[in-house]
Amino acid sequence: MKNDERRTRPAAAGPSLSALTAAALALPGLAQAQVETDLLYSRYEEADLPGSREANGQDSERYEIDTYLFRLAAPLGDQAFVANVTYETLSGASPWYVQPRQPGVDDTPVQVMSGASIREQRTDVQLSWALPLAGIDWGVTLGYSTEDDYRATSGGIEFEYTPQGVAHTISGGIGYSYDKIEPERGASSPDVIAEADKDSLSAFAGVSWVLNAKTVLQTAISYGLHDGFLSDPYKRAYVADGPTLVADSRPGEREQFTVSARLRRYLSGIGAALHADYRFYRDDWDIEAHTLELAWHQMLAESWRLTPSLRWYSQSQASFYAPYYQSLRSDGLASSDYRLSPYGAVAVRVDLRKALPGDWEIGGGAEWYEADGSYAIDTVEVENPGLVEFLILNLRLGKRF
Amino acid sequence: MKRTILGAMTVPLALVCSACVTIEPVQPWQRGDLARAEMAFEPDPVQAAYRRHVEFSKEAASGGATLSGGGCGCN
Amino acid sequence: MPPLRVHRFTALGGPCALHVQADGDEAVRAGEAEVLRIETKYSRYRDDSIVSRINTAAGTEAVEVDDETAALLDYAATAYEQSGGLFDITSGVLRRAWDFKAQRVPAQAEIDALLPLIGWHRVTWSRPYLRLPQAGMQIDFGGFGKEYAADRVAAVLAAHGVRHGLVDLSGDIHVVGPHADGSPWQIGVQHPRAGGAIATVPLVRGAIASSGDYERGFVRDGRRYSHILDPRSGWPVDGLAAVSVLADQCLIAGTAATCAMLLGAERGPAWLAALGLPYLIVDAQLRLGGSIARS
Repeated sequence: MKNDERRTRPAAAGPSLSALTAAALALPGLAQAQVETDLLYSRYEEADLPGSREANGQDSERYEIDTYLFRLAAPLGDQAFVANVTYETLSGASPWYVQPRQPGVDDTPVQVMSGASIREQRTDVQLSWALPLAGIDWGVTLGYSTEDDYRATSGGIEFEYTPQGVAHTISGGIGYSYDKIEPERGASSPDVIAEADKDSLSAFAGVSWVLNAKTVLQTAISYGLHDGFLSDPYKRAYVADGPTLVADSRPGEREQFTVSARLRRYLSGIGAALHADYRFYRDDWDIEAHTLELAWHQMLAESWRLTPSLRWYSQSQASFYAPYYQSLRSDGLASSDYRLSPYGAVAVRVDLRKALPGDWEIGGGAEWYEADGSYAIDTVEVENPGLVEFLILNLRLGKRF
Repeated sequence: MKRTILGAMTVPLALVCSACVTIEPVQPWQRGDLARAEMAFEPDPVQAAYRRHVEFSKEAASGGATLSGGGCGCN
Repeated sequence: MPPLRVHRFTALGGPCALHVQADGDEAVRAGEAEVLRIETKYSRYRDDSIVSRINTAAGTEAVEVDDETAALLDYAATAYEQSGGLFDITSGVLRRAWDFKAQRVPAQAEIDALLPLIGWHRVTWSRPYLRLPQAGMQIDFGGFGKEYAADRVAAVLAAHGVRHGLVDLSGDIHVVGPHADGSPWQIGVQHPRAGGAIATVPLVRGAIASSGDYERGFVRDGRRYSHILDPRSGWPVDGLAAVSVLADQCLIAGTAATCAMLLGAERGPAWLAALGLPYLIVDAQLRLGGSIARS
């Protein structure tokens, strides 16, 4: 550092505690090793599916999920241990298959919902352990998620490395998951398969750059490979030239790629941080998707933080998807799942948090999400009738020790 | 297809350009703003984990600069 | 329950006390050893210290420093920036003109001769190389070394399993944790003109550091000469009698207290308020102000 002149006044916005703190925490042993605990309760409620989109012409209730997420992060010297435990209860009906409203008369696709109301729970435990080794920050993760009919066991290794004297950080990771499904028989699923499984491999690599004292940018690529049973055992597809209903059937392999960028810019004049995230996705089922997210983190007086954000998403359809089929495809593939249909979605969110004395933090937020053919980049000629709209309300509590 | 790939390329480029910056060396004593909690790539890991799960179970696309855990039977 | 014990020793130019609730004396011995390590490493009185090596090389070549020293220099650079150039580790050269023991007021010419040797902006700091461009320039860590030591010792005690304790390095205090019953430590803030405390601050964790015109100052011909010297003029600052600041790190609390003293009665309180840390000020008329809850 060499300036020609003595500094004569502090930065325009006044002295910055975070500048002093950042410099102090770079000193060996000064980072205060605090234990962090967080609890998030979230209520997820899908809007009723209107009768106009249903085969029976009646409104029907969809999913409701109550989620409790607990996170514990405990430093152990220069290492850290993090546990995330999720417990959720799900109930409601879900889309079963799509058919023409009146075969031969009205071709408009309408939804048929699963008959019985589903009621299940999911427990998910994710453990991770972070440790520095040879100048690189390593992370090892293990996860286990279990539902009435589904179990996933996963693990992975991540790293983050900042070479000396450069303004960028390299990160990467590789993960594996083994998922097993044992579907339950029910009114809507009298003939489901007994069991099936799949292997998933995922990897990512990223670089983040400090562009200047107020801006950081991260770019990343990721790859996913899924092998095994990738269909939905409970769903059906409608085929006009019989047999009328066939099982949802997707390829036994799926390769996914993403390219993404995340930008963070601090606006010191107004004490806010702007977040802009973009992701391009493509897979070998021919789906392409764009996700754009903008968030504004505004610090307010008395340790309030207000974060409004907007998200836009658009995807094209899987090559084998159709709302329903005239005749069975020669490759035997069939799926009418709205997740594989062409659509777009917008989400509007707001979060409010406040730090309280004694290292407590409370907060709450809301999100409204709506999927619709008109939000997609490309024109959607036939919209899947099962597209979701939902509202999420959440409450949270945090405490540092 | 061509159009969307082109679109995919222009958005990250626009993001970089909107920062209107070239990389400037940033000294340790100038990192105060970058060290702020709200400047983290993921300022709220709990909320982020929850949202990732919701999006993963409702949309076809997934993946990014974090490892994804196992799947779920979310239908 | 282990007994509360106090381990006292003298280091870094003053009385030190480690209050801990712990079995055995391993923790406090390690704490004292850490203070002595820092004193030895950064003493300007020892020829073999890193500070002496840097100062001896002034006007010649750059000196390569280790990671801990580099991080301290980065911190000093940050404090210089954030204080608008008032917190300056090159200002110690003014001791050649100011002898607070002899209570002598120097002539302006003596000070003028030293001013060209002062200014962090003249220093070339390119991690890990530091170069003082002119012979006679010097740096010292006296302005924040003791506070840094308090933070380090608190970390050492915590690493030895101490959950209830307090580090006091001649008034720079870092609390490791509350008393065993969860009650806070009652920290007395030194009265700038009399013995005893002017206020008491309860603290369960974090740090408090103070700066005042009472330390090593003197009064001559009715004027008070504080040991806190403005690096721009070379003269003692006046305005505030004492400042205490609370922060997570004693290092930051100390820097903030020093900067507020340097900024004086008018600009000091506004600067502290903008920084957002709880503080206590005593003005020249011994009136208390600030945002610390006190008793």
